[in-house]
Order: sequence, then C-alpha cells, then structure tokens
Amino acid sequence: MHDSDVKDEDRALAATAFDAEFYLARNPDVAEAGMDALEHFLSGGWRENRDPSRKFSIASYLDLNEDVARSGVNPLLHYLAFGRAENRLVRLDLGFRYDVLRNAPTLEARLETGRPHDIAGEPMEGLAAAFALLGQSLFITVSHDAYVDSVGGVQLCLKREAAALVEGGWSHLHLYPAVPSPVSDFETLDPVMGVVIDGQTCGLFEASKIATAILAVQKAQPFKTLGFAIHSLLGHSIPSVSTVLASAGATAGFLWLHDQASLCASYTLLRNDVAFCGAPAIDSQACSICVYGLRRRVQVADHMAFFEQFAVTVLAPSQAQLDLWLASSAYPAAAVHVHPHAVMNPRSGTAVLAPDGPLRVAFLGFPANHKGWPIFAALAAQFADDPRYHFLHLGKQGDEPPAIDFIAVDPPNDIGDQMTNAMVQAVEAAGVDVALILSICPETFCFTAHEAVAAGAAVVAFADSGAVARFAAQPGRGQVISSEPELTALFATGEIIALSRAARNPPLFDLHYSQMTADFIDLTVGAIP
Amino acid sequence: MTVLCWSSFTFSYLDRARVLFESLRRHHPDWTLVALISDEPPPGADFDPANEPFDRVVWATDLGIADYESFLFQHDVVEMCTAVKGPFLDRLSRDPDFAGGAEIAVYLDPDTAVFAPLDAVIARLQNFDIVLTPHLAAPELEEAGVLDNEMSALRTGIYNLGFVAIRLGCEGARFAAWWAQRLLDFCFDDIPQGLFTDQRWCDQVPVLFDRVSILRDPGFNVASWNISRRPVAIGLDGTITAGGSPLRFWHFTKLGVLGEAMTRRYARDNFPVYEIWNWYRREIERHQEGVPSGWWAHGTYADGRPIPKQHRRHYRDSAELRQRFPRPFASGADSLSAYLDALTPGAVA
Repeated sequence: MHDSDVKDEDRALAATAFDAEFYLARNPDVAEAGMDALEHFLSGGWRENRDPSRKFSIASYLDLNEDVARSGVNPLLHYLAFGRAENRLVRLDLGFRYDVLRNAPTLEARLETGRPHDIAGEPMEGLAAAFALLGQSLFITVSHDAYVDSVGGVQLCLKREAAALVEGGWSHLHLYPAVPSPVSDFETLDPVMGVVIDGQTCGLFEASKIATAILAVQKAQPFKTLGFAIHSLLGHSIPSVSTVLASAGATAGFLWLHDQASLCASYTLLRNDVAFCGAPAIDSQACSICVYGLRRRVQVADHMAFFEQFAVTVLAPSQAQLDLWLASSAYPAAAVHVHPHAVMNPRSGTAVLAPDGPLRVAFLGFPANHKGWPIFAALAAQFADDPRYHFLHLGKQGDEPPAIDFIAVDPPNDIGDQMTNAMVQAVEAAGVDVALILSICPETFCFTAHEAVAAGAAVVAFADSGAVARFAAQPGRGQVISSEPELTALFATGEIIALSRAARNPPLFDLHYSQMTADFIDLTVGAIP
Repeated sequence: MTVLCWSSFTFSYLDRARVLFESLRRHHPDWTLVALISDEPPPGADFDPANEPFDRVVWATDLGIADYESFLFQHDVVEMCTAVKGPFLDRLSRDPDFAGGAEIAVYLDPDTAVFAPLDAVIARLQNFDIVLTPHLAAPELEEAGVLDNEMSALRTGIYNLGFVAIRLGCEGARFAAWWAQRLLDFCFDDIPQGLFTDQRWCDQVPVLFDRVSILRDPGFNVASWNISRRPVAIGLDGTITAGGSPLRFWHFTKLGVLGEAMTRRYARDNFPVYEIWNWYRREIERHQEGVPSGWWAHGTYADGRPIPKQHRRHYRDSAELRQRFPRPFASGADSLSAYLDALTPGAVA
C-alpha cells in the first residue's frame, strides 16, 4: 500500500539523509522497475522496512521509539524533524555477538542437524584386502577429515606429512570420522570411520571392524615399527580410536594441538561461540552457562583416558599454544615440543611502496566470526568515507559490504605450491600495508599472519589471539591491541598509518613448510625417538 | 545457622522454580528448599514432589487463611502468589515445627536463579533481622532509564520482593506478622491506590522496623531494570561479575518478547547478558515436563470460563458480594458469575 502524495517539504527533508545508491543496491526490485529511489521510499518503501541509508534502520528506530511506531509516521521524517533534536536513540549498537547469540540453537540441536543417521560401514572383506597391503612399518594418523580431498592450511601440511611417510617406506593408515563434527563423539557406540591407506581412500567401516581387521594383521605378524599421530579427534569417538590403535599394538605416539579440542568441547575456546573463555576450571560459572560446558566434562575425561592409555608426546605448532595448553590442562604428556608448520626465510626483493595512496588495510581468508570478520566489516563501514584508508578482502569467496574491495585468491591445494604461495603473491601484488588478523580466539598457528608478513604487510592482532598475537608482537611485524575500541582509535587518530609499507620499508620472506610428525621420526628406518 | 529457602508459584511456573531450586541445590546443598504452591496439579499431570528439586511442598490451602476460597477469588495469579508469601513467613516465625527448626528464611521468586553462594545474606543476618534488595542501586544516567526504571520503582516499590531474607524471631517476626496482615487485606495490583501486590508495602520496612539491612551489592538481584548500571563481565578465570561484584543471583523477569526488548535496551552490546539469558532459556526448555503454559486451577469458573479481572475486583470491593457468594468459583444459576454477567452485560470476554 503506497501513499499517493508526498509533500514537497517532506521530500526535501528526507533528501538530506537519503542515500539513493544504497537504496537501489539494497532493493534491486526498485532498481529494476526503474523507479525513483527517494520517491519509492517516501511513498511506502519505509513501511516495508526498507532503510533509507546504511546509517538509519527503520526497524531499530521503531523498536526504540514506541510512540513513533504507534503514530504511524515515517520514522526517518520523524527523526529529522523531531527525534534528532530530542536526542532520540536511532539504533542500539548490540554488536555481532548479539546476532550470534540471538536465537542460537542449542549445541545438541546443532549436532543433531549435522548428524546423518543412515551411515553404515562397508563389508569387512574390503577392509581385510586393504590391510593385506600394509607393510611392516605402520604409521597411523587420525584427523577430522580425509585430508586428501580437503583444502586448508593444516590439510596441506598433512599431505606433506603423508608424502614424507610414504617416501620413507612407511605404510600410512589414516582414519577420519565418516560424520564430521565440531566436537568429539561420545554418543555413538561403534562409529564409522573413513580409511585412507597411502593416500588412497578405501571406504567407510565401523571402528570395531577396523580394530578386528588390524588385530588380525598384527596377530599374523606384529608390525616391526609402529607409531601414530593424532591431528584431531573432532568427530571421533575417542575410546574407539584408542581401541583401533591398541589393536594395532600401538603404545606410544603424538598428539598435535591444532585446536583446543583437548581443553574443551569448544575447539576454539569461544564461550557460547562469542568470547575467548580462557579455559577456566570446569566447574566455573562461565562453564555452567556455556553451551559447551557439559560436553567439556566428557571430552576432557575421554582425552585423559587416552593420555593414560598411551605414552603421548604433545606437539604444539607454536609456543603460545603450548603455553596455553600447559596452563589449562593436567594431562600426563610423555613429552612436549613446539614445531611450527612454517618458518620464514628472508628473500631478496623490495616491497612495493605506495607512499601517497590511502593505507591499504586487508582481511585475509575466510570471513568467519571467530576470525573477526564482523569487526573488520564494522571498521570498514565506519571509515568507508575516510580518504586515509582503503579496505580490502583477499580470499576465496567474498560477500562484501560496499566499503570493502574483494580480491579473489585461490587457496593452494597441492603440495607442489610450496614455493608459490598464492596468498603471499596476492598480498604483495595488492600492496597491502596492514593485515588485520582479528581472531577473537587463540590461534594455534596462523598461516595468514605468516603469509602477510612474508609479503611485506604488517599484522595487527588482538592480545587474546594466541599464536597470532605472539607473532605480531615480534619486532617489525606489526602491533598487538587489547580491544575493539583500541582498534577503532588507531584508525580514528591515524596512528595505524605508522604501519604503512612506506614507513616500515619491510623485508620480504619465503615460507618454508614443515613435514609435521614426519620431522620427528627417522624416516628411513622408521624408528620413533 | 539453618536456612529455609522458599519460592511461591503455580504450576505454570514449575519450570522456572525447578531451575531456581536446582541452582540453590548446587550452591547451598544444606538449605531446606520449600515450594509454596497456590494451585492444583493440572489434570493428567504426574506431579510427584519426590521427583522435584525441592524438599517440601506447602499448599497455600494449608496456610490456614480464613475464607480461603473467597480470598483466592479476590486475587489474580500474581496477586495470589505474592499474597501468600506473608502468611507463610508469619507461620514460619510463629511455628518452629513448621519451620523445621530453621533460624533464617530466604524468599526467592521462581524466576530467579542463583549463580554463587548467598553467604553475604547469611552474614548480614548476624547483625540484622531483615535484608532487602533494591530494584536500583545506582542512579540511571539516561532519560529512558529514568522513565523505565526509576519511575517504575516509584510506582511498584523501591525494593524488589523477588528476594527477602529474615531472622525468624525478634524484629523478623514483627515484620512477618505485619506483612502477613497487610497482604491478607491488601495484596493487589492497584497502582493508582498506591498498591503493588506485596512490594509497595515494603517501602515502609526501613522506617517501621529496626535491624533492617539494604543489600546494595550489584551482584544480587541483577535484572533488566538495573543492568544499565551493572555491566556484566565474564573473566578468564570463569567468574561472572555484575557491576564489578561477583554475580550471586539473577532475576529473569519477563521471559519473552517484552523482557527481551527491555534487556536489549539496557544491556546493549554487553553480550554476556545475552549469554546468561540463553542459558536460562535452555534450562527452562529442559525443565518443561508437566508444565502446561498458562495453567492455573483458579483462573476459571467451575464451568471452565476464564474469570475476568473485573469480576475479581467487584468481588473484593464488595462485602455484600462476598457474603452472598461464599463459593465464588461456582457457575450456573444463582452463582456470582451469573450475577456479575447480568450486572455488566457483555463485560465477559
């Protein structure tokens, strides 16, 4: 129902705060119909909650000003004519965490929707045939997915690890959960696992069948050398993994701290998915109100049983992660080591400088909440019209607010990309001055931070971001901030410009990647130190 | 000190009461927990107190209130649940057997939940006999807050009677006797007359009684009406604070759209508030069993027709009606319901 006539004075008043470009971008139906944006808004668009600009939300003004809602007048006109002078609230800044928490489903509901109930394992014969090919030196790895067809920094490292194992003469058996999950599984009695041998997927089988089959191989002739590395237990039943490892005869192996799953059922340590919790005592108030609180008790107990059954050497990809883990857990580790996934080697060349242009500020990678994307997006919106800054997003997929320019970067998915890291090249080519790596939870290792610095960008990170904060705090790498207001202040004052390439004249680096667990075993003989 | 803690509710609030009593069990396993219920179990409900997280049920019918049915009819559900708090407390203070030997009585509304031990209350009762918590313990800073919260406190009472604690004896007993009498006579939601159930009465407590302590610690009785001045924080050690003080108990008033709007309005981006509310919603969901929404055995006439608020008012305002219709819930010919319908045609929805 559209109003037929709009008064001239209303039109003039509304025009002072109306953003036609925004309105048409938000309402493609109006653009397609070739209608005048302001006219559409005034003659009824506002009744359909179509906002006149990025800065004014119809719904939020009406929510906060019930008398205006009751009166039925155009909220923008009310605000401009009266509300502004009366200091009326225009919007509540509830923050992105409110959006996450609003109507958040329970954890159990979330897990239930992701859990297919009809997955059944394949017949035992296929497994026996596959296991018959195993050699006398067996290395078992366990992670949350079939690394062979997944894309990601850690998956790439797993491929390097697998290649090194096979090259060293090991048989490599990899196990992953048939049903991926963000928590460990303690509901399924006999979970189905995917089996990969020497990089070849062999199918899905119940854990009990895998245990029986490997026990048969082991009984026939015990493995001469045997080891395991756990990269992730997410989605796995920990007791079932233990049974399979024990059936193979394993007594000792490695556990990687790629995430925080050994500390909590929230593998990011984000309490209720919104804030770093610090892994407090399990009976703390925080855990009592957290969606992960109850599962944490079981997940930690399952890990404890695992540590008690096997001699476990813990491998942390960063010192920051090891420190957090040691401070927050009581597992009886056989030994602990720090082993980064990549190190930086200086390379020749000079960073491209753009002394006169705006500071090029980038978000790198997947725009997820826990990576701080909403904080970046809000910052970009706030400084959208500020000529000092140019905001960029470099990643695989973009869904950009207008204030951010997207640059597509395909992630590497082959270990042949070792020397030609696409993200490093893209950051360098775009002349990114500052990479905002705004993880709101502790990172165990951060490829993007390394890639940014390797390409000459400075890294800005929050103090609670674990390995990123520790990385950014090193001389010449960037800056560590304690809060979102501090970040905003850096941009408002212009202090952030001190991190421009021109001001820093940064060195460039190549990234040299590790071979993960393979760096800890004698590849040719297969002896595990 | 032996402590008895009670809450007053009807079956539609059983889910909330369960959450409260479970939280009390966790933090005060030695307290005796009592459910004061002004209701009858819904038909088909399998209510077994032995399966509930409280030690004892006291039915409002057993409090010895004179002309109970008449008394009941004069009150809506909120008025009724608040009205019986006084007679119950009075009975505790006069009858040590009824109190089970308790020396301290603590009342908590069913829509509260305890997050940490309430030891500070017990400590206060070493030197005081009555402890109250105010709605607001710091002035509002914005006009909206003045209108919503300070003016609301002026209308409905300075102290929130979702909590009160007394020493059973001495000044506590005097308070209990006084409060019981006022609530038996005037526990109505009648703001124009200066009444708001059991609550406005207690504005007078600090001047009518000695040994009264006003507990202004921001960790007690946190609610949408005071969070604007009590920012909530959750530390890396897992401790929750409100206004810088450890969170003791929260008052989850108005679970629903209205409560959410007020919470948003005053919590803004203080997101731990929404985390706590989400926890509460999950807990309520978990404790739904046997809780029919909107059920109250005394909300309808015998024929199942809802009792209009106006009928209750007529009845309580008229001694003649009360005398003429001692069984006000009856329906049919020569019933109060028929009489009032004839008197005010069309008034019944």
